[in-house]
Amino acid sequence: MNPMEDTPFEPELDALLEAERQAPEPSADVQARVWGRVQSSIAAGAAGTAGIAAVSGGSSSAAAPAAQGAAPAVATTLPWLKLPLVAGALVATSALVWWQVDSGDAVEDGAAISGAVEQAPANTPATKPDPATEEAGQKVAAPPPLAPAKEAKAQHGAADPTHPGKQATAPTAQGAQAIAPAGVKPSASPDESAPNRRRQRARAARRAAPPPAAAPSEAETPDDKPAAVAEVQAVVEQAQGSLGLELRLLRAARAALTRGDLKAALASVQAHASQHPNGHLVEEREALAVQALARLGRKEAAWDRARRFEDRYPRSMMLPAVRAAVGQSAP
Amino acid sequence: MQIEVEDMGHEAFGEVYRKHFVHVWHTLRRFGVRERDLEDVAHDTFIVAHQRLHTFDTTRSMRPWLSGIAWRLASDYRRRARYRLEVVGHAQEPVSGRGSPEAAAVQSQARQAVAKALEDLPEEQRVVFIMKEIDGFSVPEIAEALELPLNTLYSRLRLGRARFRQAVLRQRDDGEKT
Repeated sequence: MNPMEDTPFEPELDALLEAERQAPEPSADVQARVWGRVQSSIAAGAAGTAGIAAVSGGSSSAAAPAAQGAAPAVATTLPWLKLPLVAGALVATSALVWWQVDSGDAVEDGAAISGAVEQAPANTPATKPDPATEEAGQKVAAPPPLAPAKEAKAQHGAADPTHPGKQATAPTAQGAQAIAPAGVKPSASPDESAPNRRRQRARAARRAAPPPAAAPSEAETPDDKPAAVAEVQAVVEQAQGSLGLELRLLRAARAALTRGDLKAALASVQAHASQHPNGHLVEEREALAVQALARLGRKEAAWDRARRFEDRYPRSMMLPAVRAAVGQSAP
Repeated sequence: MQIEVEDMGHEAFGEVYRKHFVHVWHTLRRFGVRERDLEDVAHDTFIVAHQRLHTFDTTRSMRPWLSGIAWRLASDYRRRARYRLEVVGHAQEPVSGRGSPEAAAVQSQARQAVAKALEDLPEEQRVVFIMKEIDGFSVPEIAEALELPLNTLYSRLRLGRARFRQAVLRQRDDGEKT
C-alpha cells in the first residue's frame, strides 16, 4: 500500500528489533498474580449497584482527578460511557481493597479515621442508593476536586480489614481510580486515564498540596465524625451487599495467610464457605483454602481440594499457585 | 442479572487474558512502564479492556485494540509526577531462556539498545513504531486501534523510523568511541 510501510530496516536494526520481539515472558507467577487481581476486580464490580457507584463516584471523582489534574477530562468522557464508568468505580474499588491485602499493605493508621470522616459528607447524598446509573455517572463528574491528601488517608483505612469503620470509606476513595480506566476514550487525551496509583497518591498526600478548590463536602466539621463514619459504613455495606462481606472474609483470610496465621486463615475461608457457598469469589476462596491447608500440613485435605479446584476451574489463572501449594505435599 | 452477564463474560475474558497477557506486558514495558509498575498497569489495562469489551468490534484483531488501551494507560503513567526521566526499560532483566549465556547476553544487550533508542522517539512516533515494527500490526490496524488518521500514522511512522535509526547509530558510535 504505502511503499514506505514495507521498506525493510537494515539487517542490523532488524536484528535488534527481533531480539526485542523475543523478549522473555513474564513468569507464570506474575501472570497468575495479576490475573488474581483482575479477577477480584471484575467479580467485585459485578456485584455492585448503582448505589455504591454513586457513593464511590461521588467523592472519589473529587479526589483522583484532582491528584491527576484531570477533572475536566473526566467530565468530558462521561457522556461517552456512563455505564462502564459506574462499573469502573466498582471495579477499582474492590480491586484496591483486595490488592491492599495482597500486598501486605494493611496499615494501622489513625489518620484513616479522619480520612474516613472527611470523605463522609461526599457520600451522604448516596444514602439512598439510586438505581439510575446515569445520575450516578453525573454525580461522578460533578464534584470539584478535593485535596489528594484526603484520598490517601482514606486509603489507609481501606487497607485495614479489622476496622470496618475505616473500610467503609475505602470504596469512596478508591472508586476514583476507576474513573479514568472506565472513561478512557480512544480518541481522547491520555490524561483521561487514571489507573491505580496508590504510591503516587501517597506521595501526593505527602506533598500536601493545597486543595485546588473547596469541595462542597469539605464544609463538614470533625464534630460529625462518628455519625459520618457509621453512615458511610452503612451506605457502603448496603450497596455493596454480600460482595463486601465476601471480600472482607477473604481479605482477612489472605492477610492471615500472609502473616502465617494459618488457622485464622482457614477459619476465614470456612466462614466464607458457609456464608457464601456460591459467592462471587469461590474460586479465590478455594485457592486460599488449598494454600492454608497445605501449609497447615493437612496434605490430604489440601490435595483433595486442589484436585477439585482443578476440575472446577481447569483454566484458572490461580491454578499455578494452587498446584505450587500442594506440589511438595502429594500424599 | 448483572451477575449472570458477568459470569458469561468471565470465561471468555479469562481466555482474553491468557492469550494476550504477555503481549500487554511487553507492550507496556516498551511504552515505558517501569518493571516495578508493570503489574499495576497490566492490571489496569485488563480492567479497562473488560469494561470496554462490549465495544470491541470482533471483526478486528484484539491485540492492536489492547495495545491501544495499554498505550493510553502507559501514556498517562508517564505523565505522572513520579515519572521522572529515569532510564526506563534498562532494568537488569533476567538473562534466561534458550541458548548459551553469551547468546542470551547479546540478546539482552540488543533489547537494551532498542529500549534506549525508543526513548528517543516522541510518544506519538513511539507508539506507531512499536506497533508496526515490533508487533507487526498493519498501519490500518493501528489507525483503528488508536483512532487516528492513516496519513498521520504513516507520517509518524516515517519520522519514527528515521529517528530510531539515528538513535541506534548514535549508540553504536558512542560505543565505538569508548
